[in-house]
Amino acid sequence: MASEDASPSLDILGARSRFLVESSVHFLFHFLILFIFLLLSVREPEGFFVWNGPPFSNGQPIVKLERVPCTNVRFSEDGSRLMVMKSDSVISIYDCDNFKEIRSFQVPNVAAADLSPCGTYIQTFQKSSTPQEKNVILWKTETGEAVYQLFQKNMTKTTWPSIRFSSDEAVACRMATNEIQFFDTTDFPKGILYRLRVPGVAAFEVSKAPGSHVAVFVPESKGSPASVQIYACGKDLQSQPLARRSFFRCSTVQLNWNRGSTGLLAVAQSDVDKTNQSYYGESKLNYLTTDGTHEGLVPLRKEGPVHDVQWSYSGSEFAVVYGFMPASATIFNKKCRPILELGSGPYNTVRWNPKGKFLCLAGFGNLPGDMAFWDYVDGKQLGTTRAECSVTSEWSPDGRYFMTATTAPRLQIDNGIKIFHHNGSLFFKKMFDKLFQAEWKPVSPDKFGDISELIKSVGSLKVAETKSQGSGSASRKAAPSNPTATKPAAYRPPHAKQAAAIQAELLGESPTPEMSKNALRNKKKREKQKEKKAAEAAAAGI
Amino acid sequence: MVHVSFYRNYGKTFKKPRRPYEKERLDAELRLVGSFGLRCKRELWRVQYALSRIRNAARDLLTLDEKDPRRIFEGQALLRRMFRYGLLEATQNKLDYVLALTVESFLERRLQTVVFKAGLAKSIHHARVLIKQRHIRVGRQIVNIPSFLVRVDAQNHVGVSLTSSLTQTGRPGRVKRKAQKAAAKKSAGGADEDDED
Repeated sequence: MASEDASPSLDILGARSRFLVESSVHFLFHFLILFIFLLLSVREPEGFFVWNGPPFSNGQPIVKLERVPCTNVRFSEDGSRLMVMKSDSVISIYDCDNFKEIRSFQVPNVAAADLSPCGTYIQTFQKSSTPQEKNVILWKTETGEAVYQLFQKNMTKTTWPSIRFSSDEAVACRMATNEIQFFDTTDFPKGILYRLRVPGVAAFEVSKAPGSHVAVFVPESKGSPASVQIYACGKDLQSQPLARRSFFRCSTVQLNWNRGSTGLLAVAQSDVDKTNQSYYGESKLNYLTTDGTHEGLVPLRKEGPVHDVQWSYSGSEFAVVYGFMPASATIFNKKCRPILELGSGPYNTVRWNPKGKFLCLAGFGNLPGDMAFWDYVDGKQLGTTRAECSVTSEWSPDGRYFMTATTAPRLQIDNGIKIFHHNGSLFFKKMFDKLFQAEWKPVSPDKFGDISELIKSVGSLKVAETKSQGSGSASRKAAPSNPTATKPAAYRPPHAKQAAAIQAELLGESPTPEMSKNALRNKKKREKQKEKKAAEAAAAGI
Repeated sequence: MVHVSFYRNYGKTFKKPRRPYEKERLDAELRLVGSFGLRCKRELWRVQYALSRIRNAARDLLTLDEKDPRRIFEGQALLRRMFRYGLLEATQNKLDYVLALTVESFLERRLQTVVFKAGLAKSIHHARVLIKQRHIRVGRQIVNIPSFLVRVDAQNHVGVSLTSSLTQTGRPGRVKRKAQKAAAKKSAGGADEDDED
């Protein structure tokens, strides 16, 4: 009925204007969606503020939340809550829909705080000296009451956060000496539900989505090797590990679960390289599956450390950057077979696009910042560019933009953010005096349409704009050429400048003597024929 | 030595060097023996002998005509074996590459070096001990031989065996069992003494 009513009115307009109306509606629709969901949080020395994400109108981002003084800012993993540490003892929780403060906690001498994935709980760590003072407190954000307290002597990278949650908060667990303790997430005051006994456990990682498995790392003891084991999270399935892999020569392990909790990647690093090839130690990549089909090393073609390994957002493939510089990069599927070789270059990080299809290989840290954008489904490279001195890098949740930021504690000058399109062209750049943190508000990638649709909408956006306004804003249009660093001119010492001029003269004259006698003769013949033809044409013209 | 004419399945696997006291050869051999954890010079001479036979076969095939059926068939078979054992890359699919093989490429494929390179042992000599003491498996099979040439498809399935005493799942070793028995006996004996008292 509605369409019948609409069509007569549209029929009045000509075909071209109908297209305009439709495309502008299309543009408004997508513009609105993008407007609502993409948000950026930026933290400076005075405080932090939140911007509406790209596309930016008039080349400048719109400020969504004004400056709030703080020392640290963190979103929850699903993006619904924002935790702000205002000073040494005040922590506020903001709701991300309207950015209003919903709760504030007074915690004297807080050293660290962490939000649970859905934002329902917050745990804080205070410095404490006596075992009687429970210095890790778990608060419920809605009601503001403390639901659980425990004592932890000190905080290290492997032991903070003390209580780990899965992404849907169905499972919560904590590591104690020789065991992993599981809690009931709806009812914390009940205490420990059940324990998983693992003698000598040093690090663990709960699988995120869903939280069905837990991976533990037991370091080397007297004669026995270090091992990584996977256990299931149920109460009755505890006795034997589902998969295990043992090795010597490792001091720390980084555990990396995929979405779907079917595979675990473990990078085993050691401080000393027994093969005497590297001063920095060695690292090996192991892959374990929960159904036990694969437990072993990932076959890497090149010797050297594993720089970065990341699972894709679908959880069925992973990318590894490995080897001594220039490093090679390869994409493997979940059966550990290589599906695409991405060549080699000065790269040490890899970032998957949340909507699939694209991948960014980059060299940050001690490398000059080359970035290569790949379309791995078709297997071709989209573009390369450079982002010098970047500290953090992240794709936007809808997958259209890639933001790199140069932040303060690591680098004190040239702080700023740069946003690139998915093919490497620069979209937006802003420098700050001092920038501490810049990140996207996390949104589940399922909320956005497929990336090809979004790219098409950008195209229709441009069409509507040019037709209606006649001149688009400069920042909206993609930069036509990739800004590559210009190669500096070769340095010539003062006396050599003259020599260069002389050489140019010499070389300029040499071509003619180089031509052979026959070639010269043919050249003269051709010129004569040309003159003859020109003369004939002139005569015919007259 | 055994009287050869009665036994069919017997042949020499190594060749002693021509000059016994050549300084450079002795140094080079000792370096290889040390870095790959071999037991004696004979293990190295064994690999050299195998390599020289393979090179002779390749050289012999290269003298034949390019389209000779024997050259094609045997050449492909030889190359397939080289790929299978990881001695040649898949890109090096010509017989000439076989002539460029070295002793080190064979020694790298022994189970002893593969176990060390995979991080399963603390040193190359520790790897030999682990293999001989039956802690290492390839796939599901426990392999006891340090000079086992590991195939490319088996390389990622080298691990600690399931019944090994180094893991939690296996039976504890002889010394530990003895200590456990002594501890159990002591606690039982102590209880007896208390009863008697």
